[in-house]
Amino acid sequence: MDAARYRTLLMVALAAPGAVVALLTGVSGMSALVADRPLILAPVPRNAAEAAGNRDVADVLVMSNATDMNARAEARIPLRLHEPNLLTPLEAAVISERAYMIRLVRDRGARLDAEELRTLRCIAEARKDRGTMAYLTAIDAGPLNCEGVKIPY
Amino acid sequence: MSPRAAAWLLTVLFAVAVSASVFRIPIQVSDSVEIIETVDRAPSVAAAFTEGLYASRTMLRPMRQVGTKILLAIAHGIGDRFNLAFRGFHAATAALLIVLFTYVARPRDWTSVAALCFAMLVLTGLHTFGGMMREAYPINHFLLIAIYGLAVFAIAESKGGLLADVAACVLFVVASLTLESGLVILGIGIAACVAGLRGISRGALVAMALLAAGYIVLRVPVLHMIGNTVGERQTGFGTEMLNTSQLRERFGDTPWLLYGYTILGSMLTVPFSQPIAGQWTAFERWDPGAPPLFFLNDIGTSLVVTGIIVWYMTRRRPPDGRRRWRDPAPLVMLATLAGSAVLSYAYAKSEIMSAAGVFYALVVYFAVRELAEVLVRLPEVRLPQVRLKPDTTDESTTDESTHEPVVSAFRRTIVILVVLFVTCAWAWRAMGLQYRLQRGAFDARSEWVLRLPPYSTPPVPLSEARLTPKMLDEALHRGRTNPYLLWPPYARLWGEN
Repeated sequence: MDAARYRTLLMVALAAPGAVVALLTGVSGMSALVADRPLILAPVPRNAAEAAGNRDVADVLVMSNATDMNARAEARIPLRLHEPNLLTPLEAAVISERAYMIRLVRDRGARLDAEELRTLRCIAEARKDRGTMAYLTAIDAGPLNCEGVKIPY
Repeated sequence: MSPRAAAWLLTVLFAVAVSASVFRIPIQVSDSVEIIETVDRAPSVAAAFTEGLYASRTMLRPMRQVGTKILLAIAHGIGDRFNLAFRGFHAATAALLIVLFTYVARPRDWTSVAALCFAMLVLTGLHTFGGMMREAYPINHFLLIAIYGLAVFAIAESKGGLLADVAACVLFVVASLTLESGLVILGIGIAACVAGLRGISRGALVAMALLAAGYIVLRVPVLHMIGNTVGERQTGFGTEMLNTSQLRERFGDTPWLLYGYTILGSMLTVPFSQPIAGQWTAFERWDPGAPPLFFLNDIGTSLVVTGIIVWYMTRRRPPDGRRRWRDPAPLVMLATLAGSAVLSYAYAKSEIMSAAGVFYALVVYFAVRELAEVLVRLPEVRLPQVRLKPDTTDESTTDESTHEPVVSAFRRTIVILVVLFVTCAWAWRAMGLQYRLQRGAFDARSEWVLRLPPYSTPPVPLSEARLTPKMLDEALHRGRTNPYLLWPPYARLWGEN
């Protein structure tokens, strides 16, 4: 390796990662400034179930004005599920393991009938999350039979 | 493209990247709504200043109220667009900090540009920088102190004059009334002078010292303020984070122990990325199932860069043989580090050390630039060529022409790979800032639901909250982002859950 080539490669090694970060984040930043939409590291929920599953109380609130809060939709919840599942916002809220999310989804129009409550309690039991289990048990503390209930994983 | 143009292009990209992400974070409910609502009722900027003088027994920060009042006036003037005014200001100051950084670095050749690329990663990748960007109260006064610090350093580097002296004194007054950490501006001025910069005259430094004395008079005899004491706020000790009652219980009789620990911890957090707010989080809990790659990367990269700084500061500079640590940037960094640490004696917080973090990155720039020049001149070590049948009578065996520069090529390759590895690791840390800012936007937006009725008691009773409904509306309808939708290991690698 001759001196000139070494010098060039050394400078590239020193500068390239910074230049790449500057370019990636700079262009993404411009997109954020112009269209409120960064190009990297800023995904957004596609539906109310996805918002509920990913603890997004603000999006649940906004989306609930224009969406059926009982409709199933494909939801990605990478923190909790291995793959996307068809879920209602209430099921997704239980999967989020945040009791406040169940309350919010109900406040925003989701119906909680006996069958749905059984499903939710089974999901909470399967996830062994004390907060959501306590919230749902406060509504119905009766014996639980989870036969036939599909638990999303 | 000239090196200078490339450096400014790089600066603009970093400035846009950071400020755009900062701008997307809505005004926060915590630490912001209450002061905004209160200051909005003040009839004038002067009234807001007076209110700020008496707002706390321990904190003298009236410029916080002044800044809030001015931004509120702007927001009202543009149709009650509070997010645009407050978040726009935060974004603009973030950009200004990065521009000032390049201004004082003064890159002129390609080696400087390469060093600047690396220094920008260090600047934005440090945990102290994230604290300046992620939160606002509703104006991030830690960011302002860092800007004032760089500005005073730039003034010290200038040719000086009456205007420079007045500007330095004004910046000191504004900084010290913005935040207690603002007192380090005096330390920066003195350190720059000791290092040989003459942009701020000795007379101006005396004036700044007198103003500092006036500040103490204002605090103690006039306003009867006290300093922070044990248990004022939570802070880390060892591997634990102690709440206020735990602190009082444990250090009520020996406050000096906590103060000494906190000062030392604050000084270490910049060069070693640990402890965080006094807590040695890297050693808190060892989970064999999840190796703490985040901590390894943060501590490892910081150790390398701090090592380079130590190497640089102990070198002698060519003209007069003086050690580099007496140069302006290193001496100012040491002054800021020590000054900020002492001012955070009662509780540790990464943000308090953010100005020191900025000067640390500046010294990294100078150190890496010099290291690059040294590495470029890496001598070619030539090995004698191995001969199958050596002829001892033949003197040509010692001739230069029979040697091959194999070791040189190997060493150079190793050097390049090591440099690339370290810069990539810092690039990962810098990308972490973007992730944290998205998390900041998500958290701040969520607060507008969870910290208000019916889910919580609001910081200001709704009957008295005149601006809250509008700010709520703005927060909900902008800055959508949900980092939980990303691949979960990202969060862990960037130190979030």
